[in-house]
Amino acid sequence: MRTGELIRGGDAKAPPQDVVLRLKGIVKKFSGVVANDSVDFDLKVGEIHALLGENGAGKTTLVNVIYGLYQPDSGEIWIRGSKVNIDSPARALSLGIGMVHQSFTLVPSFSVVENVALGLKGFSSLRVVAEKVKQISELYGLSVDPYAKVWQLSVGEMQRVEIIKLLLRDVDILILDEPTSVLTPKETRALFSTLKRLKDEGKSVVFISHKLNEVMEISDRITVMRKGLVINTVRKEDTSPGELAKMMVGREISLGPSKRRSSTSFGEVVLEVKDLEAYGDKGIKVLRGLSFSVREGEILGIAGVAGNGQRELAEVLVGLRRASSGVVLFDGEDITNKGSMVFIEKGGGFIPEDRKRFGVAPNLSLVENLILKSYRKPPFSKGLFLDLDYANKVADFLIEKYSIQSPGKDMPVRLLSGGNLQRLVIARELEGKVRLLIAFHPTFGLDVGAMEFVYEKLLEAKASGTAVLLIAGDLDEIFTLSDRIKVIYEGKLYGDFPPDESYLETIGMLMAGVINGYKA
Amino acid sequence: MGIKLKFEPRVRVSKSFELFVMLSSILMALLVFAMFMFLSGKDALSAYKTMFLWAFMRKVGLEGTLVKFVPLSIIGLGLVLAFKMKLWNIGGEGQFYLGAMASTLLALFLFPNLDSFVLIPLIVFAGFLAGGFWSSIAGVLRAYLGADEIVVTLMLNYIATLWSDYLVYGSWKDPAGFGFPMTAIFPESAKLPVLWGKVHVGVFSPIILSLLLKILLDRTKWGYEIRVIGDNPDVALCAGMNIKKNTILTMFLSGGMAGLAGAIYIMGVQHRLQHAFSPGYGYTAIIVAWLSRLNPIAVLLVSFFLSGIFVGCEILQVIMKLPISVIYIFQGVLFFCVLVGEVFIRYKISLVR
Repeated sequence: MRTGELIRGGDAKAPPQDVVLRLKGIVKKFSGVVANDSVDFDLKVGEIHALLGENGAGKTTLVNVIYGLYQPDSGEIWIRGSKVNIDSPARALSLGIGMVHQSFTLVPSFSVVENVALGLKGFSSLRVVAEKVKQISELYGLSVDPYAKVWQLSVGEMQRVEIIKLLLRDVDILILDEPTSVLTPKETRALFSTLKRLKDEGKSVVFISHKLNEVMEISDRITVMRKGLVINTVRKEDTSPGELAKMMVGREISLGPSKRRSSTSFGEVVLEVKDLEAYGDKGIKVLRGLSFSVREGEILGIAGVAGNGQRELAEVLVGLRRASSGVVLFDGEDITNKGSMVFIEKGGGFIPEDRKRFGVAPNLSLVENLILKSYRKPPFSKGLFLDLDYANKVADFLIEKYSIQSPGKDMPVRLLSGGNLQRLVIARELEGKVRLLIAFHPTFGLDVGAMEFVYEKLLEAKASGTAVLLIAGDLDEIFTLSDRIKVIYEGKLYGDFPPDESYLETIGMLMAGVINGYKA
Repeated sequence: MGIKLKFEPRVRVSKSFELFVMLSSILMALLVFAMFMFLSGKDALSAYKTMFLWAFMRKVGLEGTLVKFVPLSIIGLGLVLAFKMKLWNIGGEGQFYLGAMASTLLALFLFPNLDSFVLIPLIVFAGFLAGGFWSSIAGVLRAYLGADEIVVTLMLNYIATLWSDYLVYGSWKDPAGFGFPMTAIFPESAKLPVLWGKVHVGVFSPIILSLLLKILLDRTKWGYEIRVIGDNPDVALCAGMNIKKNTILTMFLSGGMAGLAGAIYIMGVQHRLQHAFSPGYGYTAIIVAWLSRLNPIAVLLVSFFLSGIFVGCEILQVIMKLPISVIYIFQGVLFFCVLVGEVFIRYKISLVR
């Protein structure tokens, strides 16, 4: 019945039966910058096809073309043997294409079930939708409270809602833009089993990632992109992580956790937290008596499944959220509930999880974003005035030192890719005398190259005597960097482990809530 | 099957393109307005010619343009400041009234015998404080209670204009004014020196204020904070900026400028407070701020141009016997076209089948 809307390609050859989606020679430019350059891509029925590439390789642009968010400048899209023109996400959905975006498309003031209902046609009541949400959640292990407001959810929970939304729709081509970047290993397992079940039902999945082991585990075929070009499409059996990494970054890189701790002797205690308690956005106590300390030159890793109080802990420490009880000492001074200004003035740095929200002012220039923490004092300002000449000089220096790729230091930072945004945030937070660094999911959504860079900078900071609190979900990251590891579960800290692989299982159990007599 | 419009967000927008779209919007507004005139049986081309000649080339018309330019641009500058922080102060009209009322209080009732060297600066300052006080109400409510400043400032407009009416119909009414709703005329010491015709020395103030505002926004720590908070309040909090304090201060200064405009206007032109003395400068200033794309220098050009158009429309009423509502029609059409232009600036629009 929709055939009337399809434009039959007269002379073009239709793809074979088993190819559900074919892209031919897709070109997409943004103001002269080529984001996709003659991209060819085939998706077969019942396959999980990974799109692998660094940030800025053109993966997201490509799937946005498939999903009708962008119109290609040239090239063809074929769906199930017919040439189509996808001019909107609504059109994509009617063709059976669904997408989970990297940045979420949820209405923050709506509840989970209202958000899900927004995309559904013909439902009788919200209660019915809530029932469906519950079913899906249980079926696929995507646990989320259907009546919670979205703005109260952690990033991980929001992602689950997005996935639920997609699963509730009758689509047979699923596009997942880095779905695992916020999920814990356990949640990733659950997602993968979901994907496998969908695949068994004959649905096809485009899976964007830059995590090699994930790609090697879940996909049937892998297409590697770099700088807008398709480098190669390979079958999983015919390749190796090393080969993929090489295609992806265009250079050999070291893989796997490497122990690079330079010293094991630490200085004085910089951060001391005693019996810290705080409430979350839902009015529930989410930090329930945390005590720990971090010394000079030490990286304390806090591992945990997203949504166990990590966000609130980071916010209390940097002065964005009030503690209801307990004490935070910074170099012996009580900074509890003194606000972010005191934290900054005492030499605190903060790498936020959501760098777009807490890291940068998107429409201000690189220079203006780089002076965000230092503008108050000389030499960045004199009296009431900013010293823009000095700021420009420092910006030149930092852009060079941290290799921030940008169209220019006076251009708005919203034009930067994710990796370069994080370089900018790190440049700002680590420059100067940093006594204490709170790094919250510092490699969230970054590619291998940018991740290496972040690790390097964190270790450099440590070597120079900075105390680092690393809050992360990725255990590889925690083990690679930390001198000590604690696990956060439901607002309490458990254990105190050396970064020895033999503790991996215990830590994993603690993260999953198997406490087994460990004391908080 | 049909042709559809496709909206794609633009990644980068050049200044020259912005300017091009703005000018096109104005041109579009003139075209649509020409249609209105055509429908009322008037010759649009000669009407525009008359408008232009009167507003910018003839002495009397140019005087009128400059007289309107002063309050329009000063209120517009104040709004630009608030809009930069995404504080939607639409209470320029009420703040303008408050400035004028404070001026009247000083000029007629408190210090009628002061020397003008003291009195004029004093009135300017009082007008500034009064306008600032009025907008700070919205600022404080926004900062501490999260009350929407759009609603509060709009309501305060009504309170201000009715309060002013209460005074000019009541205790402040000129006993020798034959019952008209207006105060007595100001003493000479509270009148701004005249430069030329109706043009008073206040005509320089927008230029100075525009430069000051540009420096404030681009060069000072405070202006930087305003821009950061306006762009992303979350990151401003992370950087230790005090959003509550800045909300109140910015609203105060924004309304203060409108109050200052009220003081200058009443000392330079009206020389007395009277019923409905403002033809809606505070509302038109919103268009000014928007058309100038929050650029303080552009405010000068835009408000001068708009003032000219309004003077031109007034002339049309006289010469072509058009009703006063042509001005409101034109304002509406212009604002509509500007908003449409805004869409073209933000999105790349193409036809797809």
